[in-house]
Amino acid sequence: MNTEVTPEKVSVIASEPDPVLGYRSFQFGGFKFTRDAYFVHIEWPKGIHTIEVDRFLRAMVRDIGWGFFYGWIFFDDIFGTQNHYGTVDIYAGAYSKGHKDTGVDYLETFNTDDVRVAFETISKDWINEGYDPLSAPLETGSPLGAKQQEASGPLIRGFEPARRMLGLAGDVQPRSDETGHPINRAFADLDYDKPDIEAEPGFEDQIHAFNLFDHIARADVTWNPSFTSITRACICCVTSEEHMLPVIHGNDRNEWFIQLSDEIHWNIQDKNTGNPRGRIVMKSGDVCAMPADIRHQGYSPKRSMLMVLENGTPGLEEKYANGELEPFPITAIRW
Amino acid sequence: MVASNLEYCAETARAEGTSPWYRAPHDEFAIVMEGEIEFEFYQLEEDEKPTHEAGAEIMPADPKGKRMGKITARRGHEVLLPQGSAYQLRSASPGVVLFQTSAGPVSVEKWSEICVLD
Repeated sequence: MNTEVTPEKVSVIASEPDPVLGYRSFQFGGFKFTRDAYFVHIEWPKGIHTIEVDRFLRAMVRDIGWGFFYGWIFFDDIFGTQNHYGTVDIYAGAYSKGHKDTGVDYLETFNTDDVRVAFETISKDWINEGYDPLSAPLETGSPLGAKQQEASGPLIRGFEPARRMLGLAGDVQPRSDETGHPINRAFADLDYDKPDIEAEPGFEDQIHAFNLFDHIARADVTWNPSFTSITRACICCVTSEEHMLPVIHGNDRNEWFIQLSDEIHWNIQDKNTGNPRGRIVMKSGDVCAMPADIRHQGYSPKRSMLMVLENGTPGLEEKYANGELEPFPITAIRW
Repeated sequence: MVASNLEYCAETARAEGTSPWYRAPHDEFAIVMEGEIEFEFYQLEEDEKPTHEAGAEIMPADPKGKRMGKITARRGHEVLLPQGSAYQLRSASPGVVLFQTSAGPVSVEKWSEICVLD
């Protein structure tokens, strides 16, 4: 991918609706996206790939909502996006040894806004009322079958980040009954109370606390980190997880996971080859680094609370990519 | 220190009794993981403000500025430790706090002791 050249604008082209199932197909650059009752078929000049439709839509709406996140978002081991923070690569087989060896891999770079518009257009046509790809599977309907009425709610939600700290005056407020976010069924057994804040006159806006666990317990989306506290470029995100992370996340920097409740099982692979590197089962209180050279996917058997610490320093991804920084956070000298 | 991302980190502490007074040149955040912990805040005078680059440090003396207030936090509560303040923790019984901060003068690294190797 050439990061020096700004890609030309590319618009997504929609077909007429399929006469039987009702869904449109979409051409975006060299990629064609088609869905049927069960699957999404992705075509590119040298190949074709199929992904189960629920898996595809869960990945796509999160990719949109995360702004294509940090690094690589693999929808599966073949297809995905890489964020270059202004441009986005869409690839098929570019990180699959088999596809590379047989020369059928493909990668194309687009302006970020063009990809966002394309993915939003596809998602809106393919998501029916009653199916919410941001909810856990037990909490929503099915994406299968013919086109029905298009979903009427917002395509993405729950992605508004705090600027300094949730709940501060002028900043994003935590979830509550008033914001339409009741405590999720999976966390109904916890106690929730508010911290006691006693501010001296004039300092009411300067000292602050809130119930973080209550905020997480009220999430109506899964696998969707929300910024809760930021100091300099250190970002703390929290998220409510259930079922599987619908993407395989390829890091372009280190991140750290702190398991706040229950457990998540993580598959860890080499980012470039997909070769298995390990498996980690994190339980409540466990802390784990996810280095800059891996991809990972999580499985949460019961809804759980996860904290993620990110370093949002601009340009960090280039330093890991060119080897200036080691991919793992704890080097031998600190052991 | 339990997480380290270049200059930034997460640190955990056993909270029992009364802590020293701390200050940092940036915001920090504390999440109470266990127990009930009081956070006392004073506004730093100009000559009390930290001159080091990052992370918490122990103040050489008690703060002289105006009292800002107190927060009593329990499990699941997150507390802002604002830039420009001195803060002290008090806990009548053992508690656990998780800090979001930068590596600094009082950071302790024990990776060979805390990491699981197999």
